[in-house]
Amino acid sequence: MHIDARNIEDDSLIEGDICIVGSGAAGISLALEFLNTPYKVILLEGGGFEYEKQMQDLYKGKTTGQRYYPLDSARLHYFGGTTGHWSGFCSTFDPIDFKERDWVPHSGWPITRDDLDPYYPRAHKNLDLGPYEYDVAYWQSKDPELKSLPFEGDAVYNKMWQFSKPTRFGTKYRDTIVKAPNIHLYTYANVTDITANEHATAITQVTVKNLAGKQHTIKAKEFIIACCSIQNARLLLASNKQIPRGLGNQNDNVGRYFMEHLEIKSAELWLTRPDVLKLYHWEWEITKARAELAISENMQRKHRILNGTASLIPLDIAKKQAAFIDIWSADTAQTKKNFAKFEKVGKEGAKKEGHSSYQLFTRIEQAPNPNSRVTLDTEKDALGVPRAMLHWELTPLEKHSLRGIYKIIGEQIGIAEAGRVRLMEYLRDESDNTWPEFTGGGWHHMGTTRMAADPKKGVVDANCKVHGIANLYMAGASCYATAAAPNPTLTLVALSIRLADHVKQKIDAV
Amino acid sequence: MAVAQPFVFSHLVDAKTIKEVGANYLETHSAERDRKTLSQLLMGGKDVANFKQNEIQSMLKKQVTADFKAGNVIQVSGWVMALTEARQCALYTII
Repeated sequence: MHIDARNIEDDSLIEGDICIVGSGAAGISLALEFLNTPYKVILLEGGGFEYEKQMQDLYKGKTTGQRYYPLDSARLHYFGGTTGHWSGFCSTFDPIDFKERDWVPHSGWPITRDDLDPYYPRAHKNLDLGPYEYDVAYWQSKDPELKSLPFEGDAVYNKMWQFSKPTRFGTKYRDTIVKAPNIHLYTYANVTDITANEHATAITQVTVKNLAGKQHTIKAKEFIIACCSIQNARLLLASNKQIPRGLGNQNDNVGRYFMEHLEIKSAELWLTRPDVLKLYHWEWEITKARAELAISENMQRKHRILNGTASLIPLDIAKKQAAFIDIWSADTAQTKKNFAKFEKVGKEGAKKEGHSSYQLFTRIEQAPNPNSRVTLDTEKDALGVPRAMLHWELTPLEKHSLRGIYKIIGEQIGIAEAGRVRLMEYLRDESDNTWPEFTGGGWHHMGTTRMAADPKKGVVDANCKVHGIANLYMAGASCYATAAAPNPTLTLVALSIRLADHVKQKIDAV
Repeated sequence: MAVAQPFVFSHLVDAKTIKEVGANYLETHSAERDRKTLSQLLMGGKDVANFKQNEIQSMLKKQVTADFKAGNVIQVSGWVMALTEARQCALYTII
């Protein structure tokens, strides 16, 4: 069922069993889990079904610290959310990503990789991925041309990625959601406030507003906030009428530990003979699976480095391609042009016989850092909600880890007599902790309502429930305690399905 | 002269780059800045004259791989190199 919240009587009261705020990958995955159940689900979307400038404007915000993308361009504010422009990169987190590591401050989740294992295959279906197979041997059995670089041992291994179409949730799931009798999708329903009971131990209602000047109230038994990491934190912080610091923020953790994946040109791989390296090749909408070079858990422990992987791009192509941070601008048309040029260079530069030199491009987790954070600005958006401010801050551990990763890959390539690795200029001086101008993120926002067993160390518990509030849950990558190396979508969908199961069990038991 | 030719590395880069790498190595290892010292270090004290060029090449190629396995790795001009091949570059620079 779909209701446009602009077209119903002002000050309406809407009641249901479960209220899901946000209809991106997390919100829609949650709603799908409640299809054909006896529960009435209220699914709130701030925008409509299409991109609209005035809706994106609600996501505008200032950034400080490390250079970052315009906030209103990094997330999409309509049904389907940011799946409207994602690239479809998916891989599973590693067991080490959930563990406490003494060299990574604030690391460790209250759940393990085993806890997510049952949910990854279910998430695969939502994302239209292939078989739940991340073993390189499986993919090599399907295509013998997927040959590995000749590594000895497992210090460096091939970590597989799979690629979604990419599934646009807004397109794929619109009919399913709209036709579901128990899912009540409200568009143009921006949550502007969350109201708790007297002692802030439970949520009683949320307030929604739209640019048509309407305001409504939603009451439910369970509330799940699934608006993306920056908006999740913003909403908790802005809901401060009863608790001045904001809901769930009794220990000043909301908004802190904002994490991105550093996605950055880092080194060069020079081979003794040209090779197409098909196993590592990715082509938009064609490649089903590919490998990136990953570092074993033992080597991460030995070198006290973060988890990161390297992808390979022919060097002569990579040198002509702009850095991501320079591609993505506030001007949507210009961004499209920049991406078209980026892809054109890639297609035109590929050689059938392969290449002798490749750029090694890193995607690496950012160490959890309390000073990397989302706060509220004094400026408000058109609905009267304080805008988000992002301070993105890196630490020396990221740079130490980048150097470590390429030292390890360089050693292993040397052992294999396959070639040599050369670090880029900015990584050569071990005492230099500054970052070059082309440093960028992967548009992956994580960690602002992090998961921790101890309320002093995080915002949500192992079930994504906000500490101290009986019926408020956070969904999505904002719950990540650490960022791992892979793109976040697969894991956030798996975590959302796990959350749906938990909420179902909880309300079934009542 | 085989002792001054880093086998794998010389297949990847030109002579100018080898000289640059050699010069950068010597900047931080000034005690090795003479032909005799470098030759002795590379040959493990053995006399170059007692070996054929291909024997030296084979021996040093194996030593380079052994360096990588043992972690005797150095970063010169950004290259992740075996200590042996960095010394070979240095020798190439000064002969």
